[in-house]
Amino acid sequence: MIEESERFWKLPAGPRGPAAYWPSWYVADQGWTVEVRAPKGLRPAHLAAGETLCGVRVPHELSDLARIVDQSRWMLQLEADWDGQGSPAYTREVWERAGALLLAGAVDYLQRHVTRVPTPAFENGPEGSIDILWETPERELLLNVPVHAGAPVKYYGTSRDGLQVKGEASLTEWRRWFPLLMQWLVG
Amino acid sequence: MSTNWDRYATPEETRSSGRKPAMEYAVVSLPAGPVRGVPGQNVEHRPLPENRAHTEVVGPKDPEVRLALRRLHRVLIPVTDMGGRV
Repeated sequence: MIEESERFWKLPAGPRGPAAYWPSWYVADQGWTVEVRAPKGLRPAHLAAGETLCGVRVPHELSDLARIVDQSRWMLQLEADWDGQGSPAYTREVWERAGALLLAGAVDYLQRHVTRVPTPAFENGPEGSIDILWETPERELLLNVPVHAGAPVKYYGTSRDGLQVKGEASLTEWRRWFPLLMQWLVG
Repeated sequence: MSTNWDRYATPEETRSSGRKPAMEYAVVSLPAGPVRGVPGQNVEHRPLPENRAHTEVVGPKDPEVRLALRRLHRVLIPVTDMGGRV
């Protein structure tokens, strides 16, 4: 039987080594399959039938996230040079790419950790890019989805106690880094 | 990033200098000294014939810089009308 505290899973002794508390993100990263008793008050992380947005089926548990993305469609109405500084318009392609990242990442996180990612702001960024900004009482994280599909996502985050996270990541490999960023964000 | 130096332009004048109706714009202030302390940023007064106050914040605006600038800003005039959207 696997016991789960708030964020750590206790694994029994066996091929994977002695009993120890492993952080849940590490367990997910290693691809270990364990049975988890969901914390009280939470249902198991099975996906309920929900809406589809940006090509991602969004469960009811993440409807607030879907609403944030959906309500940002206004930026697609901005014309070229909307700011008088030569900024380009925002394309549906880039908007959907950013929306898919956020929603797919959130669905994946919910399945792994039986908890929701914090709700971000989903905003128009510089030069036609999309900004996803999380602000919690302790930390903030800005993730920028670029215009070009092959270009890396850039991110930067800070905490009240001076921790920083900064880097670039491939959008196609979001499964590897998105959960880690969310773990950092929630501390 | 284009700005106006408050030595030569008031917030109301800055708000009215856009192409759209003034009430569609907000005006924020950024202190020049701390902005210069943001990595890679500098503040350069570049007056234009039509705008003596014009000033550029030069330097790449990556997520780190933009978060830093966001923390430094102060809203002087909020947006009051964007088609019903706040």
